[in-house]
Amino acid sequence: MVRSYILSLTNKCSPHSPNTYSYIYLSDREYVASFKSKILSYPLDGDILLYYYNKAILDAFNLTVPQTWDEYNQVAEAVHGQTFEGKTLSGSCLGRVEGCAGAYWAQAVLSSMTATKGPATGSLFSTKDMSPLTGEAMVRTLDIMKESAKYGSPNEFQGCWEINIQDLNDGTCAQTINWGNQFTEYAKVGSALLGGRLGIAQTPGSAEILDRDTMKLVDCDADSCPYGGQTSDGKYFNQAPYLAFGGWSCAVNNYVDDETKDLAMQFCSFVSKGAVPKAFGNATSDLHSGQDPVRLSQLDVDTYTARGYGEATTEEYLGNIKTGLSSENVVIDLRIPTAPSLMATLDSKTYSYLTSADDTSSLSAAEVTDTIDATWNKIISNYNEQPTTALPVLEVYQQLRGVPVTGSDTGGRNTTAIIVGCVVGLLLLLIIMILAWRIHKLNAAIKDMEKRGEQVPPNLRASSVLRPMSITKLIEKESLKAAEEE
Amino acid sequence: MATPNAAATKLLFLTNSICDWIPPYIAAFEEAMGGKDRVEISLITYDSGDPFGDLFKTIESEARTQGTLFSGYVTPPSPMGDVAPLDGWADFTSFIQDGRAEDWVDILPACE
Repeated sequence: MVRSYILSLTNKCSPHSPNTYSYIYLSDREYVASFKSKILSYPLDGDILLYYYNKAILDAFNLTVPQTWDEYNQVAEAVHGQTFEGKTLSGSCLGRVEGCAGAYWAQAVLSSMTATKGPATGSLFSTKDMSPLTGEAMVRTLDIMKESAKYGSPNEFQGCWEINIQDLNDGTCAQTINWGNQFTEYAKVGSALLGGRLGIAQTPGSAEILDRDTMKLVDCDADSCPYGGQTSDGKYFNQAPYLAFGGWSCAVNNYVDDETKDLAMQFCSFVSKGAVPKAFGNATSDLHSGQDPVRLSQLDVDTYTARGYGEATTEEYLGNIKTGLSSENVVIDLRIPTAPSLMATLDSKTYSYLTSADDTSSLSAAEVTDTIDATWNKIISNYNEQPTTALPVLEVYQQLRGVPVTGSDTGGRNTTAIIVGCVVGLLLLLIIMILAWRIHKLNAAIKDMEKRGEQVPPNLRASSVLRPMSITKLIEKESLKAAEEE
Repeated sequence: MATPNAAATKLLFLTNSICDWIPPYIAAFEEAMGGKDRVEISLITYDSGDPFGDLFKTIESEARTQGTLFSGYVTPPSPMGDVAPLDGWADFTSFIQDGRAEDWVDILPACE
C-alpha cells in the first residue's frame, strides 16, 4: 500500500498524459539524466544524504532535531561524553579518513550555504562563470566541521562510513549523516535503534547563505531562502538536500549497433523498475541493497514491512526520500570533467585542516579556502588547455545544468562571432539599400532627361552609382564630359 | 556442457563491485525476454584497485575511441560530463517518447 503522502503526488498527473513527459523532462530529474536536450542515462537509484539520529538519546537530553548545522553541533556538544544506558556517548559519528567520504560531508555543509536557487545555479561552482562558491561559506564549513569533530567518535579520522553505521547502531552515537540506502543497516535486526529509536530527517540547513557578489555570508530571509523554513527561534534557514554521488544510472554505448542499443535500453528500463525483490534485501539478512527508491511506486511501506522493517520508521525514511528527491533546491553532484580531482582536493584540504593543530603553525580556515580555490582553478584551466579537450569545463557544466552556454572560451567566441556577424550583416544591408536607392534615383533622372529631350551622357550607367558623389552632381559631371568630347 | 547459443543477442555491461545488486536483474531480464536463447547478458565488474576510478576511465576511453566492447554501463552519472561531448552515450529520448519506457514518469520527482 502506498501511503497518502505519496498518493498526493500521483493524483497530480497521469502517466499517459502527453504533457507528462514534457513536465518530467523539465523537472529536477533533468539534471541527473540529461545533457543539453538529450536523456543520456536512466536513473536506477535515488541516492541522497539523510540525517539519522537516536531518538531515545535526543529525548533523554530534551533536544530537538537540528534544522541547521549550528544546531547539529549544539546537539553534539550537549550529549558528548555523557552516559546513557551505561554507554559513554559521542555527539556525532562521521568517518573522516582521507579518501573516503570527507568531500561529501564537506559539500553537504557547504551547499546549505551556497545552494539557494536550485541546481541551475550550482553549489560548488557558479554555473555562470565556473568561479568557486567558497569565500566565507567555505570558512564557515571548515569551522562547523572542526566543531563537530570535537564531539565526534574517538576513531573518526581512522575510519570510513562504517563509523556512521556502527556507532549509531550500537547506541554510543547520537547522530550522523549517511546515504539513504543505509536505512536498511540502521533498521535491521540487532540494531540498538529498533523499537522506534531510529530517527530520520533531512540533513541540516543553514541560517546564513553566501552572497555571491561579495563572497560573504548574509542572514537568510523569506525571499533569499525560499526552500528552507524557520527555526524554533524564528530564524529563516536554507535547506539543500544533497544527491551525493548521484546514485546509480544505466547508460548505453552510442557506438554499438541499433539492435544492441535498443535491447540495452530495455535492460536499463527493466532495472530501473526495481522489480526484483531479492535486490532490496530484508531486515534479518546481510543482503542490504545499495539501491535506494527512485520511483513513486517504490515508496511502498508494505514492501519494507513485509521484509521485517518497522512501519513507522519506514514511513519516516520513505517520506524523507520523497521530500529530498522532490526538492527544487536539490544539490546535484559534480558530473563535469575533472570532477574526481576537484572532489579529491576538497577531501584532502578538509582532512588536513581538521587534523591540524589549533595553533599558528597551521593554515587558517581562510587560508585553506584560498588554497582550495587556487587548486580548483588550476585543475580546471589545465583541463581546458589540453588539446584533447572537446569542450571547456564551464560549457559542459552549463549543458549539464540546462542553463544557456555563456562565458566559456568557446562560448565567448561564439557570442562575439554572433554579434560581429549581426553588425556586418546590418552594414551590408544598409549599403545595398543605399545603392538601390541611388540606382532608382539615377534611373528617374535619366527618364526626366529623356522626357525633356536632353541627351543622356553615354557613360551614365548603373555602376556609376558607386562613385562617391550625389546623383545630381554625377549627371552634371557626365553631361559636361560628354559635351567636351563632342 | 551447455553449448553457446549463437542466435542469442549478447549484451556486455560494465560496472563495479559496489553495485552488487545488479546480477539478480540480469537473470530476471533474460527470463522476461524468453531466456538465454534469446538474450544473454554478461557483466564485467571492477572489484579491486580503484573500482570507481577504473570504471570511469574505461567508460571515457570507450567514448573517446568510439569502442563497441561494452553495450552499456551501470555507473554513477559522474562520467557524463566527459562522455557527453564525445557523443559516447545513446540518447533515450525517442525510447521514452515512443512509450517504450512507460515507467519513466514514475521516476521521482515525478509529477509534482
